Amino acid sequence: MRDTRGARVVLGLLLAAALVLITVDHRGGRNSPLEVLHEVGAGAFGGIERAGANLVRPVRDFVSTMAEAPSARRRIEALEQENGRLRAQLAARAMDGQRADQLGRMLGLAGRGGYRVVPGQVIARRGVPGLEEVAQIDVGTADGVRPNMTVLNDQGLVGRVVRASAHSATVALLTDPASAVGARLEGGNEIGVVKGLGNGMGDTYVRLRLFDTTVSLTPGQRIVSFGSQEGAPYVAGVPIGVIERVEPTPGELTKLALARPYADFSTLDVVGVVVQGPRRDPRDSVLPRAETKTRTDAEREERRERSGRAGRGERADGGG
Amino acid sequence: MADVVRGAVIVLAVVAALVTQVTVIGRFALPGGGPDLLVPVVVTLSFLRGARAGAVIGFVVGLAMDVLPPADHVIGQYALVMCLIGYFAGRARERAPGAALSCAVACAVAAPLLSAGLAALLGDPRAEQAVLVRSWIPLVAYNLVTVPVVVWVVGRALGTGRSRAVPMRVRGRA
Repeated sequence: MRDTRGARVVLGLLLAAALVLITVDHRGGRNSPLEVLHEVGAGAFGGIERAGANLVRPVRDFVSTMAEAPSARRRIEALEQENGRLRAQLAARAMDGQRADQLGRMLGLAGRGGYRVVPGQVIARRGVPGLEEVAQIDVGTADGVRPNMTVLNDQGLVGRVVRASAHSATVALLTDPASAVGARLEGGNEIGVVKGLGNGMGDTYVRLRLFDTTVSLTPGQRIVSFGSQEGAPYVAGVPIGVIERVEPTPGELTKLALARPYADFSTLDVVGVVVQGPRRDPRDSVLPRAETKTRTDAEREERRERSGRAGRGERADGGG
Repeated sequence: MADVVRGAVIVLAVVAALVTQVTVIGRFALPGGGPDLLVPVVVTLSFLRGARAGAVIGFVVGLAMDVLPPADHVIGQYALVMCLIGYFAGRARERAPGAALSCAVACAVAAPLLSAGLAALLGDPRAEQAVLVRSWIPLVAYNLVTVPVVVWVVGRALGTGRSRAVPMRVRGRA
C-alpha cells in the first residue's frame, strides 16, 4: 500500500517535471532557458556538466517508462518529444548563426592584435554562490590551453584561464573580485590595475587604479591591457573598457575610476583563448573605432591609422 | 522500495540543482548573480531528516558545490557552510517542528554571511567590504524569494510520501 503510494508520488512528481520542462521549452521558444540544456546534450562538454547531462537522461527515460501503460499518453509523449526535438533543431540553427557571427568578430579582433587564439564556448558559469565570477569553457589542454592564458571575446578582455583539464578549462572573469589586470590608458603610457567588483545589481563595472596622480582621468577614456611578463596571464593590447566615472580620492597616491568593460558579461558565449601572444605590443590598435558598430573597410582603415601612430611602441613588460 | 526510490529522487534532485545552478542560472547572469538553489535544497532535506543526516547532506552537497566546475575558491569552503546550515536546520526540526519556514529564512540570510566570513578568514580578496556590500544584499534577497518556494515544493514532494507515523508539518497543515 505504502509502496504504491510512494511510487505514485514519484511518478506524479516526475511527470510534473517533464511537463514543466516541456512548457518552459515551448513558451521560451528561441530564447528558451532550456536551450542551455540542449547544448549540454549536444555539444562537447567537459567534467560534471557532461556527467550531469547523462544523469538527467535517466530521469526522462524513467518518466517515459512509467507513462507507457496507457497508449494514448505514450503517443502524446512521443509527439511532444518530436515537437521538442524539431523546436530545438530550429532554435539551434538560429543560434549557430549568431555564434558564427561572434566567432568571426572574435577572430577579427584577435587578428588585429596578432594574437593566436583557440576558439571556445562557455558551457557553465558561476555567479554569486562562492562570490566568484568564473566560467567553464569547452576547450582544454588537448587544444593547447594552459593555465594563465588570456581569454577574450569579440568585444574585449574576458579573463584568464585559472585551471585547465583535458577538454575544458575554468576562466576567472575580469569582473571577478580576485582578478587584477595591468592596464594602460589609450594613447599614453599611464599604467594602473583593473580589478573586478563582482556582480552587483546588474551593473558590471571594474575599478581602475591609476598609479600616476598627475594624470587627469576623464570619462570616456579607454583602457587596454598593459601586458604581463611573457604575456601570462595577460597579453598586451586587449581592450578592457571605457572609463565611466572618476572617483575622488583626496590625499591618496593613486587615482580611482569606474570603467565599463567592453565585453558583455551577461551574454558570454564564444570566447578565444590566446595561446600565443603578439611579437610586438599592438598598443591601441585592437580598440574598436569610437562608437562604431560596423566592421568593414572602416576598421581596416582605422587599424592602419592607429598602428602608424603607435608604431614607436615597443613590447611592454612587467606588471600583471 | 519506496525509500530507495526516495533516495534516488533526492540524489537526482541535488545533482539537477547543481547542474542547473551553473548551466542555467549562472549563464543568465542575472542582476545580483541570481538565486542559489542549493541552500534551500539543503535546508529542506535537513529539516525532513534531522540534525545528523542534515549535517551529512549539507557536507556532501557543499563539497559537490566546491568541486563543480567552474570553481575558483578553496575546496571545502561550501562544504563547511552547508554542513552548518544542514545541521542547524535539522536541529530546528527536532526542537520546533512547526518552524520550517522561519528556519529556512534564517538559513537564507545566514548562508551568504557565513561563506563570506569564511572567505574573509581565508584571505580571499572577494570578501572585500565593497564587494560584499554589493553582493550580499541581492544574494539574501534572492534567497528569501527562492527559499519558501523550494521548501514548499521539496517538503511537499518528500513529506507526502512519508508514513503517517512521523507527522510532518512542513506542508503547513499537520
